[in-house]
Amino acid sequence: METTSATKRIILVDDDVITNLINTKIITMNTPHKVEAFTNGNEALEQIYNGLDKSADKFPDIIFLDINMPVMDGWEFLEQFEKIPLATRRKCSVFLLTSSIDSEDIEKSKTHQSVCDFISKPLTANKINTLKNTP
Amino acid sequence: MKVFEEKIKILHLEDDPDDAVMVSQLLKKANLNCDIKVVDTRKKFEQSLAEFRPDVIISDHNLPSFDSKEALTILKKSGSQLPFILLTGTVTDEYAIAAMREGASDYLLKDRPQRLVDSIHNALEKFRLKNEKKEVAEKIRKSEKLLSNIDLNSADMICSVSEDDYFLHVSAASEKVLGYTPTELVGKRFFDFLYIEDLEKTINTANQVMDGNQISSFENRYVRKDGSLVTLSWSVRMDEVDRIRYGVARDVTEYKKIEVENDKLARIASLTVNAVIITDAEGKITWVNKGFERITEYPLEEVIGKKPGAFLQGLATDPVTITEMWKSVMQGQSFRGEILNYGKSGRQYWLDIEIVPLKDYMGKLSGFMAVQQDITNRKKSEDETCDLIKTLQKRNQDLQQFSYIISHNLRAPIAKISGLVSIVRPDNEENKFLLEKIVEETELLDDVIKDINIIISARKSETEKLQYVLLEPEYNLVLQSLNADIVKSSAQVYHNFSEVKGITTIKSYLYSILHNLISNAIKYRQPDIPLTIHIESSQNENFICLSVKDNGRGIDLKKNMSKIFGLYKRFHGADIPGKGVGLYLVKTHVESLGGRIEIESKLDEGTEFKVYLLKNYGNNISN
Repeated sequence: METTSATKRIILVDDDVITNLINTKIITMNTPHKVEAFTNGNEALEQIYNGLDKSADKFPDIIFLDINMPVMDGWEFLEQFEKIPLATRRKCSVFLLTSSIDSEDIEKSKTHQSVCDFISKPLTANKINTLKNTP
Repeated sequence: MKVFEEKIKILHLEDDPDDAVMVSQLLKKANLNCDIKVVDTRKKFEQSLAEFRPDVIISDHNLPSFDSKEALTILKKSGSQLPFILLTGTVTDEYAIAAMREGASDYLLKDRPQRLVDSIHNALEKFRLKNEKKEVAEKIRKSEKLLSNIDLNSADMICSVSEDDYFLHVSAASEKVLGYTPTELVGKRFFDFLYIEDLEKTINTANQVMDGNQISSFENRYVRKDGSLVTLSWSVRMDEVDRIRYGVARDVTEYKKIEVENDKLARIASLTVNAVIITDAEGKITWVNKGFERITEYPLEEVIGKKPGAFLQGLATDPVTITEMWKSVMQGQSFRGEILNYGKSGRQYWLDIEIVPLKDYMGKLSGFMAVQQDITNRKKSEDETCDLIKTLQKRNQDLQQFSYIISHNLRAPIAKISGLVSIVRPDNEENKFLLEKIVEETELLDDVIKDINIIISARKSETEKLQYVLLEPEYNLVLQSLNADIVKSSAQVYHNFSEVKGITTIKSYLYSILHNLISNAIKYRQPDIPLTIHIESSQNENFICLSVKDNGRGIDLKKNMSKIFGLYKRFHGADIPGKGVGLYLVKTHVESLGGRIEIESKLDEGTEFKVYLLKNYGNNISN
C-alpha cells in the first residue's frame, strides 16, 4: 500500500546516531514527511506522552524501531507503548528495524499486535515507498 | 582232617572176639584215644562205613562171609581212601603183597601186634598227608583258576619276558591292546612290536630293569597289528632268580591325547600376555600364569590361596562391577566385563575380564578360570577421544556464536555505509559513477556475509528438524521464487516425482538444494537454445536420488572438476553473474544429510546433477 501525500509524523528510535542521520535523510529526501529521531527509547516515549498531553493529533503516524538498544530495547519500548490506549495509537504503524533476520525475533514480533512489519536495515527509499501500513 | 588229639574211630573187621579184645586192650595200653567198632559181616561192614564213618580200618583176613580182599574192594568201590590195615594170622607173602597192591596201608601179623599202634599212626599220617595233598592240590587248582581268570579278564596286558627279550606268556588282553592274540606274541621278541622312535628309551629302561630296578609308569608306543600306534604305561619287575621280567601294561593312548591337549592349553596359558587365574570352588587362587605376574606385579608364590578381589581391587574400582561379578560367580555363571584393578605398586589399570566356572567330570563346580586383558591403553584413548569430541563440540559452539556475532557486527556498518552512500548527492557524472560502484561493492560485501552465515549454520544440521517433506510443494515454492528468472529466460521446467513423492529430510535444505540447482541451470543456459530443465526423483535400496538435468552450456569436467563445488570458484566468464557459492552450498547441505552429489556434463550439451540422499537418515542419526 502506498503512502498518501499527506505529511506524516515519523519517529525514529535507534541508539546509533549515524543510522538516525541516514534514515532521517532518506525519508526527508524522498518523502514530504516530518521526522523526529531519538537515540533512547525513554526519550522517545516522553516526547510521545508530551504530545498526548497537548493534542491527540500530535500522535506519531509511523515509528521505526530498532530492536537492539541499550537501556531500553525495542521490546521494552513496545511494552510501554502498548500501555497507551488502543484508540489513541490505532493510527500508528510500528515497524521493527533489524540488522539480521532472526526467527526468534520474528516469532516475538507476532506477540505484539502493534507491529506491522519487519524491515531489514538499511532503510531505503524503495522500502519506504512499499511499506505495508496495515498491522 | 582230624588231629591226633581227637578220637580216632577204628572199624575192626574180626569174627574172633578174643582177637578183638586183644586189639582193643593193646590200643588202650598205648593210650590211643580211640573208638573201636567190631564187625564181622559184610553187611555190617558196609553199614559201618556209611554210619560209623571210621578213620581207619583194621581187618582180619579170614572172615566167615568175606575176606579182606573183598573188604578192600568194597572200600575202594565206596570211593573212600581210608587206611586199611591188614591184621592177620597166616598169609602168604604173595597174599600180603597183593593186598598192599590192592590198597592196604599196612600188613601186620597177629602174633606180633605191638606194631599195631605205630601202624595205625603211620596209616593215619599217610592218610592225613594224602588229604592234605588233595587239599593243597585243590587250593592250587583254585588259585590257578583265579589267576587264569585274572589273566583272562584283566583289561591290562599281563606278560612275562625272558632274559633275551622273548615273550614267554601274554594275557588275553593283548588282543585288545596290541591287536595280536597271545599265541601270535609268545616266542617273539617284544622289541619287534615297538614303535621305532621309542626304541632307545625302551632299551635304556629294559636295562634298568635287568639291573634289578622296578619301574612303574614307563610309557612307550607299540605298533598294533593294524598299524596304528598305541601308548602303553608299564609296571615291570625282574625276578632275580629266573631273570624273567614280569610286567603289566595299560593302554593310555586316550589319556595321552588328553594330556597333550592339557599341555597345549597350559602352554598357551603360560605364554599368553593376558593374565590367567585358576581358583578353586571357593575362589581362592590355585594357579596364575606369567601374564598375571607381569600385569599385576604379584608373583605366583604371593597370591596362592588368596582371593583375587581381596588384593587386586581398590577405591576406584566400580562397586557395581564388583557386585555383578560376585553374583555371577556365586551362581556358577560366566561373567564378562571391564574392571579397574590395582597392581602391587598401587598402579591402576583397566581390564577386560572374563570369568568361567570350571566343572569336574561329574558336573560339579570345581573352580573358576579368569582371563584378563589389559585394556588400559584402549580405555585411555577412548577417554581421550571423548575429551577430544567434547573439546571439538565446545569449539564448534564457540565458532557458531562467534560467526553470529561477527556477521551481525559486520552487517551493521555495511548497512550504514549503504545508507550514507544513498544520501550523498553527487555533483558530477564521475562521482555518480564512483558512488554507484561503492554501492555495488557494498552490496557484494553484504551478500558475502549473509552467505557465510548460511554456510556456517548449514553445518549444524543436528539442530534442524527432520521431517517428511513432499517434493512437489517445495518444488513449486522454488519455481515461484525463481519465477522472474524463469519467465525472463523462457525456460521450460518439467518434473516427475511419481517414483519418490517425498523424503525425510530438513525442509530448508531441500528447498535450498532445489533452488540452487534450478537457479544454476537458468544462469548457465545456452543463449540461443531454449532452456529445458527436467527434475526427477528415483530411488535404490539405500538412497533417494534427485536429478536436475538441463540442456545448457555444460561444464568442462576435465578442466574444472576440482573447482565445481569449491567455494567462490567460478570458471565462467564475467558475463554470467554468480559468486560461486551456490554449488558449494548445495554440496554442504547434501553432505550434512549424509548424502552425496554427482555431476555429468558435456560442453554445449548440458549438465545433470544427481543428488543422493540417505533414505533412513533419520534412523541413523537418532541412533
